[in-house]
Amino acid sequence: MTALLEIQDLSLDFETEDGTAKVLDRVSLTIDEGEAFGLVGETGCGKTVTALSILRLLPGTARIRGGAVRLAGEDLLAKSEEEMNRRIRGRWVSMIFQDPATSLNPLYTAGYQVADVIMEHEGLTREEADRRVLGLFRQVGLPDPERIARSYPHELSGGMQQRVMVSMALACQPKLLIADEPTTAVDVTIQAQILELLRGLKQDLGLSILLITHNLGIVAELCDRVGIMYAGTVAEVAPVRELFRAPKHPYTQALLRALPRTDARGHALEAIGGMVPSLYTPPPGCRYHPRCEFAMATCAHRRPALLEHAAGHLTSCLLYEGVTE
Amino acid sequence: MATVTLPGVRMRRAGAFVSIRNMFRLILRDRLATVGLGLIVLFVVVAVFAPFLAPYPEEGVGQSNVANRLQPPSLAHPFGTDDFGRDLLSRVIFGAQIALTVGVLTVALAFPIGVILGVIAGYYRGRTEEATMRVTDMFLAFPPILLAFVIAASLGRGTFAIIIAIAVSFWPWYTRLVYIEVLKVRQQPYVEAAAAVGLPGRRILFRHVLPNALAPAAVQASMDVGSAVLIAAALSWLGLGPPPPTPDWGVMFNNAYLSGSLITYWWIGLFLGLSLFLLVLAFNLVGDGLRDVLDPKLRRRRILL
Repeated sequence: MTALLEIQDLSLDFETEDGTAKVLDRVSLTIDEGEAFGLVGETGCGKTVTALSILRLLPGTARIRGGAVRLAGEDLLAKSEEEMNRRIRGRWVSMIFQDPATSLNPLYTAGYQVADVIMEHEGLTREEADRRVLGLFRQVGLPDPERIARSYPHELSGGMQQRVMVSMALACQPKLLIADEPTTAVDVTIQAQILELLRGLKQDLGLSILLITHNLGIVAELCDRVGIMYAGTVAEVAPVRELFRAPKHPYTQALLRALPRTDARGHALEAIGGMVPSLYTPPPGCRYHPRCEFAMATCAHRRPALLEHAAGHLTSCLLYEGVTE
Repeated sequence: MATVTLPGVRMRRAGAFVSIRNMFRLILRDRLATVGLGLIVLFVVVAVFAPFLAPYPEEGVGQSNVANRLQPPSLAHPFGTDDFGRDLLSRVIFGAQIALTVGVLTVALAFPIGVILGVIAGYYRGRTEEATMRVTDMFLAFPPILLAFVIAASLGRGTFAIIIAIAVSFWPWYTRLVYIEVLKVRQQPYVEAAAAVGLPGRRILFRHVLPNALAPAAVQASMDVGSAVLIAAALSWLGLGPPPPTPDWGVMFNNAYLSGSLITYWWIGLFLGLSLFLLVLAFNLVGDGLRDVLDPKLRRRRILL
């Protein structure tokens, strides 16, 4: 398999009135063709910013300090805004968002807004685009596509809205679909349906998926590999089974211990001590060291590199770099 | 996708939410707004067919008939007659032409200017935003009627000057309303979603941001038609209106006031005031109805299908 997307040492700040927030610090990850990659972390750890930097839809305060984002070998950070719109967004990479209810324009029918995207990108006539829309709606499992195409977003259920969103994202056959917490705003039944849908699309279309979530359970269900982010850095990247079986980074280990388990009924849940650091004044060295149970003196000033300490398993921790104090 | 029955035509028709036909249908479900709409239609018909509807068209446009002066309402003169013996009903009917022209033209002038500036300020931000909004604030600092008075006075008498003056004092309100909405709408996930699938900025601005940001300004505009008529009447009453025989309602108030008959002969003030009141009320009722219609979430499913 070849890498479809490659993010290499991406560093990024937000220049705000309160100062400079070091939002991403040397973030690296790769996604292969047809692979589902889960990006997991707490709120504010930089998952969404990483995703938005692929599409170059960052807020105006964002400053990219270094690194590269390559899609099929092309450097996305060097592209013009016009080329991003014409060739990349929607055609190579698409994104679906958390809340399906507000991700569709309330003024247009579902069919109209999906057709709009197709017309913009492929120059089809309205009739041709409409026909494509019905096919797409069928593909994402919407019952009675004709009726849904004529419905306004507020007339659809949350699950249907999310499917319309997915069909809009897939309208021009992108290679990579970024799903930013697609199951957070919907109930459990629909969660399961959406995951089933994404799994089907991955299988049938060979779609690569970047799934952003804070729910490890959802990652386990859908993803091939998973990356754990902490305070703007990548702590660990591993195949899903490997990560659950043998987590290496102390943060990942603590995170997994904090999951409720059926076989540990009656025991109090563990929590990670301390607080997520402020990104305006991130701790020097390893950003996790103030909370780390294995922290050594060196951790406070030397930043660990994301290295492959076992086959296919990358960890960013000095414990594995032979540092002992 | 084997056999697809194509709803092409229907899909397109239902495409844009704000179709005029839809809007009328929805307004007609609101009893008060229907009354308002009915009144507006009545005023428009009266204004358009004034020469045929007025019992004394020559007197309506200015010819005096001194023998008949200051007659109370009767069958021959349902609204009575004025200082020069002119039939007041005919005068009011011709006055409706001027009132409607002033109201509609003022808003037609101020609305697009205000909306365009508001959208630009809200979407492009930065220096453009600062410059536009500070100028807008300067205009908003003056009460509209005072600003309109000063501008009308410096432009000279007449209906045209009054229209310009009121339009100049009205546009900043639309700018403000649209600007605030654009700031809200641009944060909406559907705007981000549209950007994520590669729709260019201009298209997002006009297809996704503007239509969603227009509702409050549109409601304001429909009410402002009435306000413009009211302010125009006030300016005319203050002597800035067209010269006397013109059947401008404000000018008629002014003349009757100066001659003293406004207070002595009740019918003049009553019928003029009533016409003005009904016209302003009509546009306010429609504006209120429009507010409900333009919020998609307030609409019931049943209505749409």
